[in-house]
Amino acid sequence: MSGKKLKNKNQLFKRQKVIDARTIRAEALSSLPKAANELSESGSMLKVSEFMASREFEVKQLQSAILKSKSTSSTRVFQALPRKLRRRTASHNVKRIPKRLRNRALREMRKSEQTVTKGTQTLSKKRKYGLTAKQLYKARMAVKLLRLAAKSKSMKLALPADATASHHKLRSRIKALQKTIREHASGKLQSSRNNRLGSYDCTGFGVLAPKPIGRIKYLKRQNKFTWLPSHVWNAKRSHMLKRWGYQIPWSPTQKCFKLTHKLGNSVSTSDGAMCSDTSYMGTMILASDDAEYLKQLISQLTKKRGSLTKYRASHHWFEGVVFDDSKNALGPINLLWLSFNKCMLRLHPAIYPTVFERLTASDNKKLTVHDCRYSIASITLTGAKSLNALSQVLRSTELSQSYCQFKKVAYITDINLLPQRTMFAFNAMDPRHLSNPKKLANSKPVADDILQLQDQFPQSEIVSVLEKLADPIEREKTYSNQLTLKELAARRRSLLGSTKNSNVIPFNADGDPSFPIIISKLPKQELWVVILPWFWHLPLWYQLNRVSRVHHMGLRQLQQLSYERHRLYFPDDYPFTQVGNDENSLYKKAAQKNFWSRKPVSKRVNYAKIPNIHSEAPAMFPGEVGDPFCCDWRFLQILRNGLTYLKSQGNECVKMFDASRTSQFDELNLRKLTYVNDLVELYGDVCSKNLIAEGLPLQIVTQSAAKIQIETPDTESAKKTPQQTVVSTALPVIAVSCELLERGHPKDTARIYSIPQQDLHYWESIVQVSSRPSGRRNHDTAQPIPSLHNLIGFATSGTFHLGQGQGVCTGFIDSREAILPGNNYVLIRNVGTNVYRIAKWKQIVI
Amino acid sequence: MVDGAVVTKHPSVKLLSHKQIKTTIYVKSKTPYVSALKRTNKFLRQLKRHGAEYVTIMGMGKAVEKTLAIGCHFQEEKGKKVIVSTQSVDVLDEIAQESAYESLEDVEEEDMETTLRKRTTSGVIVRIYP
Repeated sequence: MSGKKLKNKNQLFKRQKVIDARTIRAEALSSLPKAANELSESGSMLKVSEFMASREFEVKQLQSAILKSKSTSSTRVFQALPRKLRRRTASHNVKRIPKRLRNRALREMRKSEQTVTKGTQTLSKKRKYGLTAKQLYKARMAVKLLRLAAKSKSMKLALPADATASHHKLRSRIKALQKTIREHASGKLQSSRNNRLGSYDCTGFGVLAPKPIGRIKYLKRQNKFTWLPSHVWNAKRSHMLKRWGYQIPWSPTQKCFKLTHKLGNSVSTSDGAMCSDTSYMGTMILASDDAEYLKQLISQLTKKRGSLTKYRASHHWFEGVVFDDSKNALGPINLLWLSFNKCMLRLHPAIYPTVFERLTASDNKKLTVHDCRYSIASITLTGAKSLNALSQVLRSTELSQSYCQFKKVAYITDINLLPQRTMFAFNAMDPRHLSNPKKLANSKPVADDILQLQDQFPQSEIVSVLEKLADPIEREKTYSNQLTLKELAARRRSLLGSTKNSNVIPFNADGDPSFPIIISKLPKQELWVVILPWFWHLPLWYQLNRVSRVHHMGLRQLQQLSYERHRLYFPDDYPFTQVGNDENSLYKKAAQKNFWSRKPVSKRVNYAKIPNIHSEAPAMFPGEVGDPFCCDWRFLQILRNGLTYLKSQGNECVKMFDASRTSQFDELNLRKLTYVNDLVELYGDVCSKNLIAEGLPLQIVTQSAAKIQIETPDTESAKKTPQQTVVSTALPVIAVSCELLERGHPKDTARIYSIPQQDLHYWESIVQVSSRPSGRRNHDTAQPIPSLHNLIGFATSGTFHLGQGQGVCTGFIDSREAILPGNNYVLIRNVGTNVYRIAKWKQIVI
Repeated sequence: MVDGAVVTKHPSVKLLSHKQIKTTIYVKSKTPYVSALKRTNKFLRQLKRHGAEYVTIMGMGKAVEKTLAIGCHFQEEKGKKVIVSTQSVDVLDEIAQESAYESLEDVEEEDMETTLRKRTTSGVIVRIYP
């Protein structure tokens, strides 16, 4: 008897089924009419029609075999689901499977003798035994606290301070809650909330707002990092990032790089939308009775740009850079003038406190500052379906021109199609009134409708909604009678009997709440931003994510999108600000270095031993120059400033070093600057703290390249030594986006070089690929190597650009180099390699 | 920048319909010819999935010639049924507008107020049947 196990009937049947599915039939020659007499050993002539028919038969057989084979290999119904809809729990909980497949799934589960569950048990049904008396008491107290908190919430009471303070013990919290409930029952205490959901307005008047009081259960978890309104939703679906005082979704748990590229960009193939909770972006409302004073203030804050008529008078968003008192850039800012006396600022949480302190420090009566970080929330959307998705879940409460316009353009896919100032503002009703997202009637707007959008901007209506959103009392009022899910369900149930078949609970103007909402285009970032009161965020968010083909995203995706649109992303692409500089030279550097040093020596790049990077290597860096783990802006600053100094000393053709002598020191024991190597040594002095560098190494030039005027640093008046000037003068840089013209792609922290004059001919031949003898491009030509003094910048973020099909990087280059005439090309080299790729640069005006 | 100069050009009006999105290719002047052929082939293969009859290829302005060249390829080389029709496309241009308050010299391009102006260009629609 052989060791082979005998198969049972069932197995044999299945085996035969697979064999049948995989056999591909071919047409026998004899089946063809008149084929037999033409058949011979050496082959024979065929008729065209017969030949075609035979091949067609074979192709069909092949196709059907592929299909059959596919259907036999799939065994369980949940394997047929798309990747996005697969659930691990679907194998035992049938509710995870779409309804139309459920019966099949149940049959399969029974067949494989599996246990079928219908969801998880509720808390109360879980086992209670096995606890000691102390543990049981603690568990019961915790439940009691939650019950009391829920009770006081439904009585429209605010949580007492003793109950929310983190240092209080559990029992004193319970006592405080019991006391307020008792007082309310006896009529001593009036209800302080206007709804049963515990929503309230949490604005800071001239001071930073306290953290919002959410559910009492989760108070302790928010001691250091505040939650966004959609935190629990996002924490289930995304990786979270704890930074800047918030817990922010970083990236969805499912892979979505290509999805973001396909849906998020404004391309004709996008048929969905990506949405992100951007409530971490702090909102600030500035108001002043003195309109001129406010204009001056904004003008100072944004270097005269944010107060221009375009922004101040006609409701365009200003997207630019915010500066501090000493004209150093702080970071990006979005600014909207609500009226001449009032404006709204949106700032990144990393710079929000800085700007807020600056505005409130001047303690004058002229300016009122509201910190609306926790009272105004926002959602950012991108992709073709963004407007459409919003239109499926938002309904206006009254007849509104703005809402009509919104309905009109709801089916437009491309954000770039709409005018710069595109804003819809109206009073919306609770999105939960709709039982599920519902499409609006298909409108077919043409170019004239878009012109109308520009010409008939409903200014007064929009301003009134903006004012309502900016006013803390009005915001508080929007929460009055905010319905709980139970109340909503009850209303929906009462509608079931009515004859009108509709999925929406009708809006009752007397009792039902409505809230102001702004849907606006951010033209530079090509994003839709939805701004609404904090506690209305979640109802909208839930509904929005039920719309088909709407996906959520996190910070990582926003970064990817801004890279693909050739925009800068804060803080990674803002090295000229303090926050961006720290991000690059502390945070990222440490992470990269750690990653590198964890690897065994033989498995990692030895940065000190990379040959042929430059035509002459400085003594300090035999391999890679500067810090290999980050964009070494200090090195670039010293090199570029030093070269300018050397040239100003009449040293036109700079040399790496003099072979006959080592570096020299003058009588003050300062390093003499004569050669490029001296500059590198000077950088070494800064690294070893022998010489202190002041200020940030970079300074951004915001003008477009044609208008740049470079000021030469004044050494005499400041009474600084040339060494100190070289080290402490910020290098003026411009932001550029480089497109590689050859194969390969740049990576983060790639080095950017200018093309040496003598090699120009070679690189031009690379650009012009028309003369190719073999018809294919030759990539293996010997490259001329540039010198160290050709280094003009670094790339902050770079990778292969899926939209353009070539490597693209965002970086910064020395503006003095950029304004040289006819200078459109640069060379790009990745860290740790000695291959140069030619790229074309274009300025990013910020 | 002078008053009345074109600052930016807007794309043509595109509306959301899943079927259309999955069967329409907009040819740009930058689109490589072979890439367009490959994409058309890919769309032709997926026609059945979207329940459509034909693949539409659209081009306007500079890209008209390339669009027609793609149509010719499928007609002549691949022997497909191809229908060509012409259309007028309304597009919007953003025009610099000198406001009463500032002169345009010291203002960056993006800080200028603009107004939209309609322009009509001609384009072709090529329908390729499988």
